[in-house]
Amino acid sequence: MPDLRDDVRRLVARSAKCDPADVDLDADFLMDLGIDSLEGLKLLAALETRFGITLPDHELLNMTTVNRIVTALEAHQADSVREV
Amino acid sequence: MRVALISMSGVRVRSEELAALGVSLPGFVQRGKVIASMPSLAILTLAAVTPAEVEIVYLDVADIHQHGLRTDVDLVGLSTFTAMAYECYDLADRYRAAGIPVVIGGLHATLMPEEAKAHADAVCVGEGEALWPLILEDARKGHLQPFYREARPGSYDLSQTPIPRFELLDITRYNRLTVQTSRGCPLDCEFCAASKIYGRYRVKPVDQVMREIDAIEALWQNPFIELADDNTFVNKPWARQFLREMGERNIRWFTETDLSVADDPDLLGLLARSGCQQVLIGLESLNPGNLDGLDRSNWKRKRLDGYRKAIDTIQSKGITVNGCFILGLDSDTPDTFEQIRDFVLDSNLLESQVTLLTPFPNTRLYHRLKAEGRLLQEAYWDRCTLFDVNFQPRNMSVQELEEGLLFLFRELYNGGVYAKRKRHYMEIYKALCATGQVAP
Repeated sequence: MPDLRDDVRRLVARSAKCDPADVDLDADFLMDLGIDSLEGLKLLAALETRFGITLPDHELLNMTTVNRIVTALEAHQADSVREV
Repeated sequence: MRVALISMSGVRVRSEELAALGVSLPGFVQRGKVIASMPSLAILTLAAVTPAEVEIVYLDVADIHQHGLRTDVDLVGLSTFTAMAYECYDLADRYRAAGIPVVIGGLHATLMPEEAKAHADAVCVGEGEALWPLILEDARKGHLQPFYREARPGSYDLSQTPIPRFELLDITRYNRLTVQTSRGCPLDCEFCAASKIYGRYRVKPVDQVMREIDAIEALWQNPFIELADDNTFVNKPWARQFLREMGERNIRWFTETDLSVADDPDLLGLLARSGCQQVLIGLESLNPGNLDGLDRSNWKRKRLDGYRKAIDTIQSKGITVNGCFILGLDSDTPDTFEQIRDFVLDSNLLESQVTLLTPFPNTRLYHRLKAEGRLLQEAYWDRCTLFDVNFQPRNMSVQELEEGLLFLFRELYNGGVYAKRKRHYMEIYKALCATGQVAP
């Protein structure tokens, strides 16, 4: 799902004030990209608004890389689409 | 002449149980890392008043631990706060044994100059900007005097402060830098060492503060700045000017203030647009008996009934409040801990800090507890960590106080509570974005 990953990467880059191409998918927001905890919450809020979802509260602490967020979004989308 | 200026940063909690608990609590670990990584603003400021012909070597005590004593210097300057005083003295003794003269200054030496003198060739008592050039001149001549004191303590004109030499730092080692805009606090609470050291409340001119911030920005593109103040927004006209200037810069920052910011919608609006991420506010206690007489004008007692409303007002602007509570005040009982836990959770405080009442040397609290025979031991400075009990509480045992602190750490800093706080902030932020009050 490359578009989703690019979308997330773009929002993360905006928070980190860097070029999206410089955001490694496994880079830690705080340690590698300098996104502090509050900026991280703004990022998660922006992601929820962008994708129209609400991440489970218990997962918020783990949303610290692009790949982790994408995995959570994909899981959420899979949960939302149920074949009958 | 080459001078090593050494920062005694970092505090180790003495309680083994608390230290062990700390490694698993997200809120505690995060704040601990932040504090541990901050450079010494005092030393950077002294470096800035050092004559150009004197070479400065900035060292953190961690550098000494890692690489050993740096002995290719002619003089050592050490700045320490109380919890690190003994480690500072040990380091000073080692340097003097190596034949290198030592000057000790900073908060603890100012409170306990005679004690510091036993480990130093000279002690800088009070604010160092005016004294340090004299010390260097005497050191160069080989005639260091035992004490250097301000003629009128607390009278240093902050408009004369130089820009700290931030360029001496390896910026990559720090996640925030400090800027001081004021010294002291007019509330003058009984436990406060800053009010004792700094005397009357003074502010630095706004344009001067901005020059310091611009100096940091020149070194660090997206800095996070922590104001090294005790109470930033006492002077409201100054605060407005400062916040307008900050609003024109794209900087994230944090400071300590009091609840009066919630009374002033204009000021709060400026604060919200200034890049301020969080304000740390000393709520101290929920018990009227504790607040009664705590500060000179009983200001905090008068605010108690408005705590929740003020917290809501500030946080609704997207500024998180770090509400601070002191445990072990004289009206506290074993029931206090659950009351604080319930308040923190119910009020949706986005951050909270609980620390133990600590009688720092030479404060009013120290003298009172000493007179009442309630200090557990003499010269307990390495236990002045804010997390180790040094006195006999009035209405509970030492063990009950220690257990109460641990209880609150477990209750307030666990993952579930932390996630709930995060969710609350995210919803505030989404609402602000949706109504156009902040740009998403």
